[in-house]
Amino acid sequence: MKNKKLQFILLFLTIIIVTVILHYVGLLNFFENKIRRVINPVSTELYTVSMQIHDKTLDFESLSDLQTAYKELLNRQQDYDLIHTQIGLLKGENEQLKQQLNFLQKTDYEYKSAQVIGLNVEPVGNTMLINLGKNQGVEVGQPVIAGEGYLIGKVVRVEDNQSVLRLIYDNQSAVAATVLNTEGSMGVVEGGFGLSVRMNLIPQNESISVGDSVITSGLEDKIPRGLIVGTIQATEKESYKPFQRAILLPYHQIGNVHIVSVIIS
Amino acid sequence: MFFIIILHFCSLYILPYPFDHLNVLFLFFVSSIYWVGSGRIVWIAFILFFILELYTGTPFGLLLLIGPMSVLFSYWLFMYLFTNRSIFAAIGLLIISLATYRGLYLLGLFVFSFFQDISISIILIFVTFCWEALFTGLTFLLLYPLFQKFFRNKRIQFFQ
Repeated sequence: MKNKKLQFILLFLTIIIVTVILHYVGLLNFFENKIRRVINPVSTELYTVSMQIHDKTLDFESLSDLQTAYKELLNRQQDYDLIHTQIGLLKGENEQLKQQLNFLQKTDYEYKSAQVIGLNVEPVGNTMLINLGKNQGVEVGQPVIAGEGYLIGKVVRVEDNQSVLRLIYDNQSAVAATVLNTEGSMGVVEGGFGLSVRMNLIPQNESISVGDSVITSGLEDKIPRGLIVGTIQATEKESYKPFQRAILLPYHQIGNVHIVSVIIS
Repeated sequence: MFFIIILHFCSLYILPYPFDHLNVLFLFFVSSIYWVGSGRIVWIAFILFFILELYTGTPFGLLLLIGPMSVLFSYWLFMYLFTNRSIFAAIGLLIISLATYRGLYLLGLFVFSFFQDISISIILIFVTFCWEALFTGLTFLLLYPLFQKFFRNKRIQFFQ
């Protein structure tokens, strides 16, 4: 009787291990794609529904709330107009400086747009599922951006026609970044702190301040310099430690994006 | 089986935090073990975790190994330890199953961390387990009278 049970467990384990090996060899692709073909449309629909449910931008409890929001938007619009004018001036200046310094303008990323078709299916992680995979040139480690160049995560697993990306606020996420301050402070942006991220390993003697932008440093393979990681919300500096930390606010709509871009090269 | 997976996705996508920690898969496994009592659930778990594995960011094989093994362990517990078939036994079985699953998950991550760059957060996994145990347990309690009524006559097969 005991032998039978042991035999069953061994058989069961063998089947699991064989399945895993067959997956890595690629012999299960046919079945896996069939399963995905059934589940992906449902997952996409569910994701759309979840976005509609979790979208709080149109929730107003009273008329005064709506009026306040409207006034806030008007103020913001004025700020944007001002910023827009300033950006125009700075752009001109920047172009001249670039020409003078003969800088190589590295902004022509090759990218592929992808649709988000699902969220994490394990509560431990913060991942997203996108509809691009190996066949479209996606590789593990490539950055994924949303909005106007905001880094939202990195590809961690690639299948034929879909990939899993790890969001930057996932506890396993780590991105080499630099602060746009006078020193160009380097550090590592790590997740695992709710919806915010932390930038660690910033040298103690460098000055960082609230509101500074943080971009990717370009020191990491496949991740170009200049992708926006977020802005500094708070700094943590203790005199006895060699490094200081900063709490960053990443792209505010990470959990509610429909379309993202994977930077291929 | 697809229905169970879709239900699991629904709970994760649609329910707000922390209710999204309701583990539909283990609710299904433990309910099936408790009311149907068939060992076939281990094979069903194998298929369900295979499907789930296609949608996770963890290295392929982790969930496929630990999921069915946890269910197998739960079935063994049901057969030889939680034998009085009371609601307390069922809740105990559910919580121990989830604890086994998360414990093996932690162990699996530890093993995989030798081959891949994986950081392990014991606190995060513990917090996840606590929420899972709470909401899955509560849902089980809510569904208990319904299942009890439905399966009362169908349990004969197991007791014979």
